[in-house]
Amino acid sequence: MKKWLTICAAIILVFTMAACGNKTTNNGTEGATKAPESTPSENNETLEQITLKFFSALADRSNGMGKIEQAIIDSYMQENPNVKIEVEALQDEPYKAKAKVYASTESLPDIMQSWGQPSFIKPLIDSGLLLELNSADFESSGFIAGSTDGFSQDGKLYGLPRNTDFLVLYYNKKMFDDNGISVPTTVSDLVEVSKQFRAKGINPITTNAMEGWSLPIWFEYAQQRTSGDFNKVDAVLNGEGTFSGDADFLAAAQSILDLADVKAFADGFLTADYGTSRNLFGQGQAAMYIMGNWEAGLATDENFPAEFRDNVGAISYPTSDKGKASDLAAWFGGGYSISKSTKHPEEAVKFMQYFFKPENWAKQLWQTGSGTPAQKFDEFLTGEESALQKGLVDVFGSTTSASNTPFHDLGTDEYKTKVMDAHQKLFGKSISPEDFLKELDAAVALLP
Amino acid sequence: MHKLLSNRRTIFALVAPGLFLFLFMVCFPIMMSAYYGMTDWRGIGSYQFVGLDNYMKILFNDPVFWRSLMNALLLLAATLLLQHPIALLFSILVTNAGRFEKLFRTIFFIPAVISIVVTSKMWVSVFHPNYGVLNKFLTAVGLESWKQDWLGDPSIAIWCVIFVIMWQGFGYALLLYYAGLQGIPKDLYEAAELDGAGRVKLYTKVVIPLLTPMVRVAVVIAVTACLKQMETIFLMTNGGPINTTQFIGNYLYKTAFTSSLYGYGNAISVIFVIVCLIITVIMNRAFKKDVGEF
Repeated sequence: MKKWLTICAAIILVFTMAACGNKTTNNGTEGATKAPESTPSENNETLEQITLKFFSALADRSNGMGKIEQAIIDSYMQENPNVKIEVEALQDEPYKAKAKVYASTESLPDIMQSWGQPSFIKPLIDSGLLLELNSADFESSGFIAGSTDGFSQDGKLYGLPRNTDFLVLYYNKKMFDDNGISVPTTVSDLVEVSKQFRAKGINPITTNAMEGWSLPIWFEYAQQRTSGDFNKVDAVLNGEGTFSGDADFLAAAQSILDLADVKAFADGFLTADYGTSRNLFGQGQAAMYIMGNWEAGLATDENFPAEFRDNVGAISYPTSDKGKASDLAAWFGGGYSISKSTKHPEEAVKFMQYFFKPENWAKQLWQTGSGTPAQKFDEFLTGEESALQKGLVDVFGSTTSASNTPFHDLGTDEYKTKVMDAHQKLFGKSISPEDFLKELDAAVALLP
Repeated sequence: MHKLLSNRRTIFALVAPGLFLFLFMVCFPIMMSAYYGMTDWRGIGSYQFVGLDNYMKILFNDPVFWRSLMNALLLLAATLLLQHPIALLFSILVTNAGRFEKLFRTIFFIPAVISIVVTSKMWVSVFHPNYGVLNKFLTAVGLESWKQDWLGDPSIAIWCVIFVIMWQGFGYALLLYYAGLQGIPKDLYEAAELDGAGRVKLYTKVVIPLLTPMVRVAVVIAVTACLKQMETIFLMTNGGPINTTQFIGNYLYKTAFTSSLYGYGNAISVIFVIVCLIITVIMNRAFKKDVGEF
């Protein structure tokens, strides 16, 4: 009897331990919203209950783009009570890490944020994890010509672009005025202005150098301003030439070092992540901020003092005799893709059609000043845009040449990490321009 | 009961669940890791077998890995040579603090109960070159020339990070020694006093030798914590600037999940396991000596 008791006890022990290890149901999705508890109408009772998992990299669900995304999801659920959309949202880098885990276990959420850049989307397409979309389904969305190219492979469409992105130099007008410094228009001005701010004990420029992805785009600007051509980098990536031994690339790297030499980069530059650098600028602790146009919301973010919001402006990267302000580092960035293994492909496509109706994403994004859509939005111009938004429209409207996809995103993740590491070293002054170019070549050598 | 436990079947039935879990959740993943470490798997899609290439590269051609390992050893040295002696000293002081004993015990243990996310982010703010309390304080007391970009300067960032990790673990180490001190019978103190031992002699000849078992536990915990350090690093610097504060756990994570080199990441984890095993063997050897009994 005792023996059996012991054996039973052992079995119970196993089960209790197994219970401890049970996968907890993931309801910790930030900002996840439950479907409104409306009583289904008679029609809906016959409809199948559908749950779509939606994975987003817009972690802040109460501000900017994340808020709009959530609002559209909520209104869709209200109009379609049989559909429940479960949102999981993470910050950029954790998002990408988790997306890889989902991909490697072939359990992608039904709809996920994707980037129309080879480093992100190519492995997913190559592994057959994304649903092919029919571009005719989205004709009425009015996507800008060329904006879906990054999401296409072999003529097939695997995702839809959400934003038009370009890198600009934000500046705090008040800090410039108070110190009697004028906004830089040329690259050499930028060095001079940085020197002046430093002399007054003010941080000149900040960006999210800890994550590091803004640095290669910055370098592309520097490179364009010395050579007058954005395509030079792409040529190297296509096997035509190298970074090392090219006078233009060397001069570009040197121009970054010139900035480093006058301490143009804010204190703690290399350890400032996205939030830290944004705060540093927004709280008036740095005079300039290198970041994408998606930060148009800086002018309306109430977390920052009014004197900042009223004084924030944006210009294209300072020019040179070869590179003009209209040469813009611009590309089509984030968007959405649908998992091939989704149980409800039709509903997912239907939701995407709803999401990209011009009056939904494009209109709301523009009119809240949260960014620039990848769809036509001229009909939604109100004339009441913030000065910052108008400045950004001016910058974008004048574009004569664009960089397209940032070059660190044109390869594998390993290549990307190497490129960003090399840039961190250059900006941190712990490498010579020559060695920097050599490291870039070593990274390019990793490309298939 | 004795009869029952001598029955082989019963023993097996009792041990099997634990053994099964151990094999399934510890040994099996390590073996899988060793296997994936021999591939060029990128997390998605197919992969090729590359033999020992990854392992060779880590051992002979990966300065970041060695830097991470050195940082772990540096942290270990700092923990054993600074944090623990101080924790021991303070545990003795707390034990003798009379009516303030409870108060001090609580105060010292506070950092250990606050989430690491909170304390790490707090220290990031303290060290911030512009609005950080530390630089502000230095300015206030006229030591402006001492101001630093604490976490951004590659030559000092590692020391700042090590300091924070020691600060976070201090309460725990103190509590271990404190518990050890409570376990030493009071009459031993009295006996030593009657025999004419002074304060210093009492501690060096009686108390500390009797604390040896606790020192062992504390050291083992410290060694493991130092080697697998990841969360504070991830939250404070993510190994930066330029990998100067990199630790193996974080490097492994970055390699696998940021660079998508799962094969290589797995190889790092296997080598990491081997390093841990070697250190465990060394520790066991070192602790083989007899300890004081009472």
